[in-house]
Amino acid sequence: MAKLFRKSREHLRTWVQVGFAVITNGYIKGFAEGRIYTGSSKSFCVPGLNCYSCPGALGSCPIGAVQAVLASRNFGVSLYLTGVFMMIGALLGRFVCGWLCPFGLVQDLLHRIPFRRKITKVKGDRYLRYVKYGILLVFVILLPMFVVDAFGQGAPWFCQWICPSGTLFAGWPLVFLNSGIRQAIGLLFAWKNLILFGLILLSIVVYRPFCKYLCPLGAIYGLFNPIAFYRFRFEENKCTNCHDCHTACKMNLHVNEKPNNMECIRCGDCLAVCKTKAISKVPLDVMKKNDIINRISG
Amino acid sequence: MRKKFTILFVLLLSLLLITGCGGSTPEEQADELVQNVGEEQTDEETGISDEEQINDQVSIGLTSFDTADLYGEEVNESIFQDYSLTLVNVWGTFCGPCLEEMPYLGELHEEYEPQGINVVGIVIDIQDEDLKVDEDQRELAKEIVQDTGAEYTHLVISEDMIDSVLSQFDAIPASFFVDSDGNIVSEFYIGSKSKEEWVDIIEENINKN
Repeated sequence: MAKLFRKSREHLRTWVQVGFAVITNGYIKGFAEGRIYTGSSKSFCVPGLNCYSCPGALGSCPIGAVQAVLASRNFGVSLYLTGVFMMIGALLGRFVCGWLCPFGLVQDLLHRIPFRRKITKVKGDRYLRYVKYGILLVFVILLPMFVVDAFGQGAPWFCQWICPSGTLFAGWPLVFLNSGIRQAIGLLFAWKNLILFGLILLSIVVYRPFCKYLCPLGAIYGLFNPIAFYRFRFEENKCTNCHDCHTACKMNLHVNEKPNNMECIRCGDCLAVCKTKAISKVPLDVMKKNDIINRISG
Repeated sequence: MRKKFTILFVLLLSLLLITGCGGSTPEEQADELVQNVGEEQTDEETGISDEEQINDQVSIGLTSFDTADLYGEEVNESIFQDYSLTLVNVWGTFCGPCLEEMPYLGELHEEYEPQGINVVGIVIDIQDEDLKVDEDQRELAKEIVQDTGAEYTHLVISEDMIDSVLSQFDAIPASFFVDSDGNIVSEFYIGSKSKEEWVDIIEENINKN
């Protein structure tokens, strides 16, 4: 029964991921013409790692936007983006990663491809998780801000040298559809593809390697997980220490010890599998309980 | 009850944050200009009958335009008439790769002028949404032109350029060749190039024309 519940929740999550990706990248004309949408909705960020240059993209990538502002000679720190991160982080935390990010969806789907040796325990996992904070600090913040040309203009280092989401959703469609872009590709495109295909292959064996070890956006949202509005509640008195939650958790987390770990992407597999319902999602579950209690007691 | 209030309050606050602070960067304004008119042009091309098209059709090219250069001097299509070919390079002050290739274009301008080949720049981010030039941005553009040695004529955007040329590409630097009448006689070359690559491109276009 728990397995059925887990399966239906997993399917719901996949459909939300697909639906959100399709809606936020709905500019079909971009795909038809090999062009990018440049309308006013582009000034708004979507919550996930969704490249501005995807032909279908109706919004911009928050990480791309941060680099653009920090690199610009005319602007310093973006208060708008800081506000967006704080708002999304405070409301959702890494729920974005589990439910709203297109590159997260790609890794989820890749991991479903059968492979005889899926690796659940990655060597050095604990230290590798810190790499994403390093990438955030160096490639998203410091390099764009300080490595500038003679006129004070920097470059978007993360987008340019690392981001596999951009290579997949923007690079490939544009190279395929736009002859001008096609003649401009060279060594950099080759390097980006080395990273992209490396991660694609790795995703079949390891669950969400990019999210775990490399994503600067996940790093930011993760900081909010312990205090976010959408959170998991663990009731110790109900726990039987069966560790089913830890086994079900594809991010390898000890849910009974830290239900709001900065690494948790809120997929909900743990609460679906818990036989005693010791884990619940707040505020929805708690709200329901409080309502019932209030009605009973008067 | 209190919980519901809290949730409503947070949602309202989030809505306020979404509307956020306004104002767009020069890049965004340039993009918007190109996008707004670009979309109009595409609609014209697909949805209207032949008769209407003859009246409204905008041809691609720089055969007829009226603008100014970086120093405010008036410029029109006659700028092309003394040269067999002109390389038009579209750039922006915010665009790193554009600035990287400008020294090469400056050198090429000097090297090819005796052969009747000219180089002209179009800078797309020194004007506001009404196409009025921002003086600080003008000074910046002038500084860039001097420092990179790209000391050929640079034009600012005029309304008639948007439909006919600027809406044809999404990325800069973008370059193309025109003949002495301003007709476009090459493909659009997107992306920053080395001097060797430019020499190859120029030679290829000389041979073609």
